[in-house]
Amino acid sequence: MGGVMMRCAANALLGLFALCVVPAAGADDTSMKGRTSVASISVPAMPAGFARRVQAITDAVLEHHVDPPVRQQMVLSGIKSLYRAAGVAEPLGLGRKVSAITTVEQLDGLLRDVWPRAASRPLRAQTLEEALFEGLLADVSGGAEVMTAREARVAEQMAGNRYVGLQIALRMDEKAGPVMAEIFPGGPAGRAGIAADTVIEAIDGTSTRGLSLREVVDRLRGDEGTEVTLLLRGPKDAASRTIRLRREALARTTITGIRENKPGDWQLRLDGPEPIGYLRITELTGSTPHELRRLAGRMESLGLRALVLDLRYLSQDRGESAHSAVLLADSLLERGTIGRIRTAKGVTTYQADADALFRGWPIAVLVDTVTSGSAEWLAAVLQDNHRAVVVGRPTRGGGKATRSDSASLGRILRRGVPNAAPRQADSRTAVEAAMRTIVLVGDGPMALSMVTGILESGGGRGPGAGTANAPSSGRGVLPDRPLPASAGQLLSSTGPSGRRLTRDEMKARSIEFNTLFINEAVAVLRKALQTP
Amino acid sequence: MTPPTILRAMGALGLAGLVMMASAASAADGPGSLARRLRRPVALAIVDGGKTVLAANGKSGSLSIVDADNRRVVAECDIGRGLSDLVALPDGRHLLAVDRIAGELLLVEYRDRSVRVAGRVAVAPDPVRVVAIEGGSMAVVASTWSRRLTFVRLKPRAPEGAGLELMIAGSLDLPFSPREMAAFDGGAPVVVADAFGGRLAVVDPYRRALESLRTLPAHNIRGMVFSPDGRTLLVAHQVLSRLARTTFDDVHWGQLIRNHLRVLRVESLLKPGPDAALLDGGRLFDLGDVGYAAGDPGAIAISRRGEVIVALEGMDEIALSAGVGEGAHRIVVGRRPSAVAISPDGVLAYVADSLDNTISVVVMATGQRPSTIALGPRPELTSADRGERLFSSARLSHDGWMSCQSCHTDGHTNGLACDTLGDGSYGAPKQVPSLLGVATTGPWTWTASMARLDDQVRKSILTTMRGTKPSDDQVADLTAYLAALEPPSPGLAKAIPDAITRGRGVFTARKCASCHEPPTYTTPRKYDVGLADEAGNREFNPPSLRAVGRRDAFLHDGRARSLRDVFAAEHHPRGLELSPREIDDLVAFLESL
Repeated sequence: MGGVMMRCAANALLGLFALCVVPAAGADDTSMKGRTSVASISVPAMPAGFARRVQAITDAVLEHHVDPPVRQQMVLSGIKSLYRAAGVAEPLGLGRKVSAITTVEQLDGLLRDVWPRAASRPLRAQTLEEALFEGLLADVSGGAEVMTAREARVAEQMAGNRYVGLQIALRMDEKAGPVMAEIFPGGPAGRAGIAADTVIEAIDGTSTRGLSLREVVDRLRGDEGTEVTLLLRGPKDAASRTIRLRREALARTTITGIRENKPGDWQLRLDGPEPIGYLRITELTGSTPHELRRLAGRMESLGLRALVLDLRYLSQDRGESAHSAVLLADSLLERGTIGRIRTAKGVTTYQADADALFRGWPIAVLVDTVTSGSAEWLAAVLQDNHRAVVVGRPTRGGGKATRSDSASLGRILRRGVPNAAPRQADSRTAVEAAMRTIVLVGDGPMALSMVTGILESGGGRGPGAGTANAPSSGRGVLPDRPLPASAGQLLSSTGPSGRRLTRDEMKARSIEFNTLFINEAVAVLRKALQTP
Repeated sequence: MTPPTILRAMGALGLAGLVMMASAASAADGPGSLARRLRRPVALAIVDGGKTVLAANGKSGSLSIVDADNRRVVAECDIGRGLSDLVALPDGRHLLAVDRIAGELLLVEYRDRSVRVAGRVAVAPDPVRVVAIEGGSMAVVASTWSRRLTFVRLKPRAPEGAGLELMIAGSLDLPFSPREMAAFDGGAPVVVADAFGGRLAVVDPYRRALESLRTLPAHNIRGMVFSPDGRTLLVAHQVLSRLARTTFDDVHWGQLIRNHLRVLRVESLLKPGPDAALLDGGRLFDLGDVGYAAGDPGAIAISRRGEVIVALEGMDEIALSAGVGEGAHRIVVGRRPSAVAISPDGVLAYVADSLDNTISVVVMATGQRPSTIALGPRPELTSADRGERLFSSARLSHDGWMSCQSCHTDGHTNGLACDTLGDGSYGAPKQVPSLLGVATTGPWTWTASMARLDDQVRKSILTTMRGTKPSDDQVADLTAYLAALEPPSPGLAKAIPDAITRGRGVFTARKCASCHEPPTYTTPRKYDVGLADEAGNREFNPPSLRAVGRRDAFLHDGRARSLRDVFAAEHHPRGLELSPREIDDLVAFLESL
């Protein structure tokens, strides 16, 4: 769920222009493109061991990424990014220089050679390093990020739904500094009654002034059970106050029922005479298969005999939930091929372990146009194995990118994957989803998050036309039981006569739209329950 | 059908009187003179209508006789070399005891707080469990390593009133290593479970035939009893997922390994069909949960009122619930509870704390543990003894999900594949290796990555069990325990000697010994044998072939499901072609190791 590395979005560094022009030491004017910069500020020296780190990162990408770019291409992008960060024009002939690099010693020489000697703004060495890493990874499809070992641990905690912290969301305000944008109820900050938009002025006695968002987050995090002292000023406070909070592990609920009767108490049975249960998966995390198991037990005790599994809202996957999706698929299938996974090393086929939840229950899976990533793959797998009837609208297909500057998963697929097993001759195409893991760079301490695998279902429905309102990209899941073509009109903000609808009208139509899905699913399940 | 309970029902079959056989009757020792030794109570029987509890001891081979009212040992009688099971016969005067070390079934007479061995008979080697059927006139003994059931008739001696005698009626070979059994009180059929994996056989004891053999999605089946109404079979077992990994998350959320009480419908059990049909109409309950797991579920006892107790061997606790599937109350007992018996009046439960030399007494209604009955003084524990306690302790793992025993059952293997960091990465699950004889077969792991056994022990605890870092002493103790583990003695194979000799010839001619070198049948290097795993590893350390005939899946990922398949289907190594006769002989030889 979202990258962990919280970079300073707002550029807190103001451009300080030196009053005198300092000629860049050792600059070769003939190698500079275009005009020279108006002001030149000296740049910190290249950090020790830098080339080794760059090499290690590119090594990790080449070894583990499912479809890595060429190393020299990464290096070239990295150097260009370096110059952008420094705010100076890149020299000519970079491409030629980079193409000649084969060893880490040569890389070291090149980096020293191209390390900018002047910048248009003051910079720390770390900023330059980060800029180069970002450029290095810009061409890695699916998006990749370097993280510290600590950030990697936190990312794993979040994917595993074991997030340890204060249960708040932060943002950086240009004037005030770090602000608690959102307080999650039930967490340590929530229970302490802290209001949203509270400013954090100091952490454990140290002022937050001048710290980047990333540094603030780093200081707030810690081991479960440890305490942190904060100096806070709420939006309505006149003065600051000190508060001590204890870091806790909080697990979010990732599967809900049809209606929350009391906080935390969800109704699992659909209204109506049939013994049909309903579960909505809101997130696919490490705890989701466990939650499904518990809910299955409860539903069996309630005497339910059919299930509506709502996957419509799972649209934010960057690949962290692939493993959970595989375990979920396994828990719902008692035999058969779950699917395949392609990694840098080859293709592996997964078989379902014997035993499954909801044995003998007919299942209807709800999907919509935004259902993407691992959720889409899960729907395809259940459909392929005839374990569930898919109800709704054709899914997105190809996954959704959440970083606009990185290649979407679609590009991975179009480009093809090395060591790919030949596809089956029949016309069905597999539904694919990215699998993202965090890989150690060399022996550490850096880690790299990137797409290391592609999940494939056994073979989805053919590339279809979808419906007029919901065109399929061709690689999504086509429902066995589609909604009527007119359904999409319910989401429009104008009525049939062209009049703009009121908010209440839109809300009512939205509920009607939702009900369409449920009704179709219940119709399918009712029929299945009647047949012996 | 009279519902069976763990204390064999006090039926009304009048068996003849006592037999005065010239057996090794030893004097009962008075309580004051109890020897200082490790006993290991592993089975319990309640006699005298609940006034007396008998405990069979696995290490000392003795029966401890306990006065239930006063909760003290009143006598201890050495009857064998190492007992593994004890069952009271319906007549209230006889019991059957299994001597695992001597390989015998014992007929024990009980009267007035003293016992006498009235008869012995040799059964298949390594007998572990006995069930009495047909009102106590027939006994079935399961022998684990020899993979055999022995059927023993208990016949009244002539003249009438002269007692009982044991007579071997026959045997049945099984394609798996049996352990737990459950029998209907009437007699047929008998359900027999795998000691390591999930096989479940239904056996006709009269025809001495296998009626069905299926596989449950389970391993470590350590408790199996019929419900009082005889309509369901309760099975305590674990489940290990091949798709999950030994990451902290998968362990934490119970994805990797789980502990269960499963209910099977007897109807589904007896009706022929595929494996999946076994589960029809049944239910699966989780024992333990995230944050507080229930490692190594074992013996089950059900009271007449339907209350259920499941012993949690790895947690030193029992789980007591008012009914099957209802919320369980966890009660702390002694170390490694291996047997549970409920008193006939349903008031008390007795728990054999096998590694503590004690019996815990639990009040069913309140769940309190009122007292512990010491079976006798204990000597200082050796390093290997302490290692054994650690090996079977689930507290070594995160939240108590598993112990070493959970995968390396009794020091052997559960026969399943697990995705650990043994090969340095995730994504390529590997067969759990057997640890019997492990100390002499370094380096360790499939990719020969560990040069020291104690390092591997530490790595397993940290990266597989996700437990807290063990102390150096704990690691030393565990390593000492592992060093003491020996493979079962060879010679339990059933092949004719000629085939074994020819097979040895094939082994030599094909140079198998270049990687699998006697006497340990392994070498300390890695070899490319034409196999690769999902992570791209091509070189593997050859596993020792000692006791290979007692394993159920072969090669690094278990792709060969029989020894025969290793050669006939997988053509190991490197595409080797053997004639069917050669394969038969080679397999006969390997099974003799």
